[in-house]
Formats: sequence, structure tokens, C-alpha cells
Amino acid sequence: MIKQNWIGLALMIGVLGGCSSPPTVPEDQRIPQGEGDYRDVDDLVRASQAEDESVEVVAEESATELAEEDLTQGESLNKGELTPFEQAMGETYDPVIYFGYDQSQLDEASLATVQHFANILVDNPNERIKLIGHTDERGSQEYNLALGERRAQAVAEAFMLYGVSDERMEIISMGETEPAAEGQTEKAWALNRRVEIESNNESSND
Amino acid sequence: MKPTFRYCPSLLSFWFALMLSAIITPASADLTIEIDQSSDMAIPVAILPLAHDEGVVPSHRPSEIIAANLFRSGKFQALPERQLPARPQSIEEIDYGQWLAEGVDNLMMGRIDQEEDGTYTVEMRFVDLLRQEQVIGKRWRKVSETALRRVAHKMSDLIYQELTGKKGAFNTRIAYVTERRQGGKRLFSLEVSDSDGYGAQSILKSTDPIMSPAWSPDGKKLAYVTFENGRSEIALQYLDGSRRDIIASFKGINGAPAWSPDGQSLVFTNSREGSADLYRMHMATGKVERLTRHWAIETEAVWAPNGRSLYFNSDRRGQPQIFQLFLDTGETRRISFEGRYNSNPAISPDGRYLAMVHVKRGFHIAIKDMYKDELSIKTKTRLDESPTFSPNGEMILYAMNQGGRGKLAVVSVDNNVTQVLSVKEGEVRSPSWGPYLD
Repeated sequence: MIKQNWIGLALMIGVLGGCSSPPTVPEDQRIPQGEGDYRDVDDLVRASQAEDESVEVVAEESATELAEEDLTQGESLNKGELTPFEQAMGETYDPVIYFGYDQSQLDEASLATVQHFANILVDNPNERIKLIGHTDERGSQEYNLALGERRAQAVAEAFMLYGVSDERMEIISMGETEPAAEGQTEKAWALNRRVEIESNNESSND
Repeated sequence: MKPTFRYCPSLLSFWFALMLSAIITPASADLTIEIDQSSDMAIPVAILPLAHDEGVVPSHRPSEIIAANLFRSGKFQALPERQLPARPQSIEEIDYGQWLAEGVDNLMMGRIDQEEDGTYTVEMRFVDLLRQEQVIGKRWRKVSETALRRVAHKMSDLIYQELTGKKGAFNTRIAYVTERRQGGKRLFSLEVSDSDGYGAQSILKSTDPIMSPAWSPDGKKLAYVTFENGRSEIALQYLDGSRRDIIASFKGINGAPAWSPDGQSLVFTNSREGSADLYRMHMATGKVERLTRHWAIETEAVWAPNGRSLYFNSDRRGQPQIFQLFLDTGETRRISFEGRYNSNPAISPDGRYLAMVHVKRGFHIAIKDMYKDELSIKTKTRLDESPTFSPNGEMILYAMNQGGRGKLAVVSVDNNVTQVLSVKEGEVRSPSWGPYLD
């Protein structure tokens, strides 16, 4: 799952070139969701349940994973086109914030993650982000759509606390429609209650 | 992760043309019915196979469709064909004592004939065996092969009304969303089928999620939530394929469409002011008016049958509960009190029963009897949602999960007989039961 988030971010960055160069990243280069990911899922859940220090350890591991992925997928990612901001975003912290059941509060570790990305944004005043809120599948779809938005808003408020203006953040909710992990288990649900932080250069490319 | 065409308006419109060309695609996967549980209370009836001349082989057997419909109601059970003591061809041939001995008080018999132009003439008689009297006699002419199922549903409706005094709702349609995977991609399809899951047609295919279809009261349009532009918006689509528009694309989320009983307005959820609130769109003018103002999440509105109030979900008390908003006065009152999570309300057409998602060691469908002020849990599975009443209020269709797959199920309001509807491949969600067809 960690991998998938990184690749998603990298893919998105690769695609942000705009309409003049149509997207060329083929489907089969995406990291598939599902059974094969459960080893990663286990790791992440253990990590997210552990103490604050170990969260950073996970982040470092994931950074290593990103480096490996970059080696294998470098060509399709147009790495040379990454801006300093985009490179910085992928360096130490996983750009995902996780939440408890029916919760939208950020814990200390999550605030540290937000602070990390907020600092990057403060240093790169032209960069924008998308905050994409998600929920697990339990309960009604429409309530979850609103809950995903509330989570993304909570993350946006934390970013504002660290000096990022709300005009630079686009809040989106996907509700329960885009699970990161499949299956009806506490593990999968814990991974699905999340807000993803994505680079958003859509408007600057228009 | 996201389809990349989102960033390119020209590609987007191309994709749209593709999607619209897919409207009214015949032969989507029908839902298949699994019998989950039968009722001891089901009253036996005799549904005789329609008599026909040799060589007449209709593709659908009306007697089987009728038997399945009656069974799904949870109230009746057709005698298995092999247990039928006789096959009288006319009223005169009925040996009443023979049937009463089987515990059967009612019998349907009929004929099906094929005309020279290939169409069928279908005739049914429904007999009250106790009174020894024909209570329904009806004939349909010029019935095409494909219309046979519809005639069988009409026959079921007539029988249901005769036996219960309530209008049958078998000749109705349902809408739902299917999801399957193909080569790592998710394919969503908004489908419309008969109430028994047959005759499914896809009216929209998309690689982005679709949810919350809502029937217009005239049964001609569906409003639903689409994520085709990367975030939630409400689309309005005519079922005949003539038109499709995005009608709500306001800042924030756009969701939970609900038609007023007169079809003149649509209540939906939007969060332009920060938190999710209820808004009302007047369909003739497109004018939008805000109905709730609260920092909490307010969503999932449904209209009371008289059009004077809305039931909705609000977590203003910390967790989702059902409230009622009176449109004339703006007054709000709390409706659900039992349990810490009640969401996704649906109201029966007579206003008596409020169905909702209720958490008690799992997410179940519960019904609150508004007259008696009693809550009863109707389902045993643990991830149930999206309850929707049949137009006669006798059954509830809902989404559930069985063996890791999303399926639909039907439960009767009077008892807990459940039947599961599933697609062969993939998952089904977001059911919505349409209005009477005529």
C-alpha cells in the first residue's frame, strides 16, 4: 500500500504535463490492489498502531521503497520533469493520514506528517495540493461521502495551522468508493480511513 | 490511480460521447436469485403451468415467474409442480375437494397460445377454491416474446392484490450499480432491471464510481451521483437515452439526490458552506435553496410521502441519527433514539415505517414502526445498507455483503424472509426501487 501511494503520486506527477502530451502510462504499470498487497498492509497496520517513533521508521522504509520503484519505473515517470517540490514531497513522509472509526481528528504522528508537507509548501509558494478523503465501506455511502470530506477538511485545517493558505488546497471526498485495501477486515478498514495528499498542478498547467 | 483524461477537457468530451453511446446496452448480466430462508408462515397456493398446444415453447414460463414472485413476498408459496394433484384445463374440471385436501385455498390456471404473427395470447383464471368461484379472469393479446415476463408480473400483481387486498409491486423496476474488475480497472455500470432482477439493461458505464440512483416519481428519469469528473456530482439522465446532464456540481460534495413526491424539486446534499447540508433544487428553474444550517453532517434526505417534511441523517449529536425537518416551519425533531448509529433512512409509501441502517454488532437494516414507536432489526448480515421500499411498501430491497461480495437482498416488511440477488461476476450496490409502471 505504501508503494501504491508513492507510485500513484509519481504517476500523477508524470501525467501533469497537460493536454499537449497525452498520458502514456499504461495500466499494467500501476501497482495492482488486492491479495498481493496484504504483506504491505500488515506492515503498515503494525506501524500505524505502534509508537510515534516507529511511524517515522516506516516513513524511511517507504522512502527506500520509492527509490527502488524509481529505478524500475524511472523511464515512464519522466523523472527529469519533477520539480524540486515534487521531489521533496516524496522524500521522507508517506503522504497519507489515517483515521479511527467514524473519526476525523489527527493524532500527533499525523500532525507531524502535515507539518512536513506544510513546510515544503511554504518553501514552494506556487505549489498546490489536493486532499482526498476516504472512508471504510461500513455504513451508508452518502454519510461516508460527507465523512471523507470532513477528514480532508480536518487535514486542511492542520495545513493552515502550519501556514498554508486554504486557497492552495483542493478538498475532495471519494467516500467509500476507492478503498486502498480490499476485504472485510479491521486491517483493510483501517487502511481505507485516510486522506491522501497529492500534488495538484492542474490549474497552473491550464 | 485516477484516470488521466481528467486533466484534458477534449479527451473528457470524447469519453463522454463513448459513454453516451453505451446507453441502452441490451443484455447486461441479470441478477440471479438465491433463496436464503423460507417462511413457515407462507400460505400455499396452486399456480398451474399454463396449458398450451404442442410445439408452443415460450422462452419464459409465466407460472414459474409468478411462483417466484409470490415466494419473494414472504407471504405465499406455490405448490411445487410435481406435487400438483391434477392439471384441470377448465373451471369445470376442478375437483375442489382434491385441492382443499392439499391445504390449498387458491388456484391459478390459464392458457398460452401462439398466433400466426408469432405473438402470444395469454389467459389466466384465478379461483377461490373455498367459495368455488372464479375471482379473476383476464386475457392479454399480442404479447411479444420479450413482453411475456411483464405479463407474468402483471398476473402476479393481480393475484397478490386478490390475496392481500394490497396492490402488487412485481411489475416494477429497480436500479442499482454493479462493479467489476477488468485488467486492473474498475468498471461501474448503472443498471435498470425488472423487480426480480431479470431484463437488466445498463444505462451508464464508467470507470469512475456511480452511486445513489433516485427515481423520478414518473419513473422516466434517474438522478444519481457520479465521480466521472474526479469528484462527486449529481447527474440527471432520461431512461430513454434522450438526455443526460450534470445538474449539481457545486463546491464541495454533491450527493444523496431525493425527488419530491410531485417531481418538482430535488433535495440533495452539498457542502459549499463548509459542512454537508441539505439543499433543494427547483427543477423548472434550477434555483437552489438551502434547507439546513449546521456544522454537522446533514445528508441522506428522503421525502415524507405527503411532501411536507424530510427525514435525514445528521451527526449533530456526535454520531449519525435520523431527524425529521418540517419544511413549512423549519422545525427539526429527532426520530431515532435506539443505538449509536442510525443512518440512510427510507420511508414506506404510507409513512408508517422508517427503514434505516442500524448498528448493533454489525450494520443491519432496521425498521421503526412510527405508529407503535417500535424498532425491529430485519436483517442478520453485518454490512447492510441502502434500504429502499417497494412502491406498495410490502418489501425492502437493500445492499449487503455475502462472502466478500456486494449483493442485493429483499426482505418482507411483515416477516424476515430474505432473498438474495447477485450478479454472476462482480458486485452490486446502491439499489433503488422504482415507482409503479402504470
